[in-house]
Amino acid sequence: MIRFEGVRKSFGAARALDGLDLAVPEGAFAVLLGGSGAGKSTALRMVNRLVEPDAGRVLLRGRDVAGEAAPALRRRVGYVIQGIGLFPHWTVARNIAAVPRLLGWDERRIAARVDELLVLLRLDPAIHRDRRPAELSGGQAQRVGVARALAADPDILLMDEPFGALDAVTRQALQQEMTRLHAATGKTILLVTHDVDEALALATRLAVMADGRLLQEGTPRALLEAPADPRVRDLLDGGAFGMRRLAVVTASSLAAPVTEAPATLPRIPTTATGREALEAMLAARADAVVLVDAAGVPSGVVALRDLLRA
Amino acid sequence: MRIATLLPAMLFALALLALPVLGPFFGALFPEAAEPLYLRQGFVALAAKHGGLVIAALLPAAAIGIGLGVAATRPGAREVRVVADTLAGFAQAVPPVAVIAMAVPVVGFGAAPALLALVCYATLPVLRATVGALATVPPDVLDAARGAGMTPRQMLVQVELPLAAGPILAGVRVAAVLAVATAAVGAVAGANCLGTPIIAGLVNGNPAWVIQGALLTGLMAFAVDGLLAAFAPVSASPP
Ligand SMILES: Nc1ncnc2c1ncn2[C@@H]1O[C@H](COP(=O)(O)OP(=O)(O)OP(=O)(O)O)[C@@H](O)[C@H]1O
Ligand SMILES: [Mg+2]
Repeated sequence: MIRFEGVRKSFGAARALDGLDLAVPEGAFAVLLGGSGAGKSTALRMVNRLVEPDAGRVLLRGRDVAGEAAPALRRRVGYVIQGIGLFPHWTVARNIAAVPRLLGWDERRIAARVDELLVLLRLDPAIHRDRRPAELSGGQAQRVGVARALAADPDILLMDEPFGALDAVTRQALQQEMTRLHAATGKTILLVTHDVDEALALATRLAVMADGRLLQEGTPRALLEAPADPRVRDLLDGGAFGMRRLAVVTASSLAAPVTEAPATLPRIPTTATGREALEAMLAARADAVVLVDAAGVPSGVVALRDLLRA
Repeated sequence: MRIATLLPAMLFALALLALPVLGPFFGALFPEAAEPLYLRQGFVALAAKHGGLVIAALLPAAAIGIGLGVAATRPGAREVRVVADTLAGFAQAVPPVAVIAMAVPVVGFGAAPALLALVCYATLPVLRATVGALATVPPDVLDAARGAGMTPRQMLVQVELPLAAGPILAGVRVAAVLAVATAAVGAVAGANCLGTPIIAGLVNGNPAWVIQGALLTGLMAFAVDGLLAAFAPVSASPP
């Protein structure tokens, strides 16, 4: 769906991209991970032509983005910028309506879409619709930024460190929101971050960059199991390599069928990760946890030693 | 509007009405003056001409200043920035009265040289304010506008100018006050305005006329400042 082919870009003497090759499949939640200055933002901004390559090309569904007028391209690609960048002189509703207005939607359709998006991002339309950006908390502003990018229902969403400036709790809530949104809409998302935990929590495809090049691309699990480059290992490690590996497997994939479910064991949802299972065991000083489905029915048991298979 | 912003305008109107009956007062103040009150033209007529001169200069000055400021801040407009800088440097080096004097041989006596000087000098605060205000628009907001698919023109009209409107209007206000003061100098070249009694007073050695012209010019500047201040906050945050 999104394909970078031999993309190079220099800003004066600084080389931002040095021959980037990367393919993001349709419907993926792809995360570009890398240190500061790795060229992540530059790569992202080439998809909607905010930056033009010096050499190479960027393809969307097989078509070179350079072949389309930049404003038209940008209106069909959602973009959440590194610093949120809400229009301070417009209300929340007007901010969200930016692209639909440029596309000439009629007022009634715009108003309906704005309310729909506010609800989707868990902001009460009646309360937030007419506020100014200055009257929002950081987390609320970030949600509005995401809503604005989604307004015209683009198939592709570009997000540049969208949760960078938020506290840990808000960041985690928004990450969960994004995972839910991705699952619900099937959009192709390309998100940039330098936060390993964020990358592992969100990515269905993880691409690690350094010095303007791609080091490795694959599922988070594949990169954790077989880092192709010492720099990938270093980046993903951070002293918590094993915990991170646990964080990308589901507890249910490690579970044994329930034979008995002692009431003394802690219970966690079947959707929990291996890491959450371990955490539950440590918290309860138990050597196993019971997985329960939404109805509270036990569906499996994960023992401490099962985690070694992760 | 708030009463404070209208007070200078009311004072100015009061002075215009009161001066014609204050002849005996000025006679007592300056016993040696043969005509203690300037009577060659009515003060209201002079003020109207003065105001006309200011408006006639301010409209093109605002248009040129904003236009040049916008052009100078577009990417790659190096030539425009050079022109703007030259204009600013020139005006700093040359006083208005010199511009008027230089303009007389070209455009003749009367209102024309005054108008020329007024446009030159009133453009500058507007230009400076426009360039400064546009530079304060946050880069991430511009990035968001571009990323949303706005054309450069849509960015300017929908985002940059609304966000810069407050400081630009403040620049227009400075220009207007400056124009009121500078217009008085136009009387040197024969422009009919509140500067006329001042020049006539200087030429005839009549300090009463100088004071009457200067008083009205000063009050008019205050009045304009107050009236424009009443507008500014409203336009600074359009819906
Ligand atoms: N507009 C620009 N002008 C000059 N240099 C730039 C510009 N944009 C990027 N660069 C340079 O290109 C390199 C890559 O920048 P880029 O913004 O893509 O990095 P990044 O991976 O997004 O980093 P960060 O995590 O800090 O945002 C850096 O060395 C940066 O200084
Ligand atoms: Mg970046």
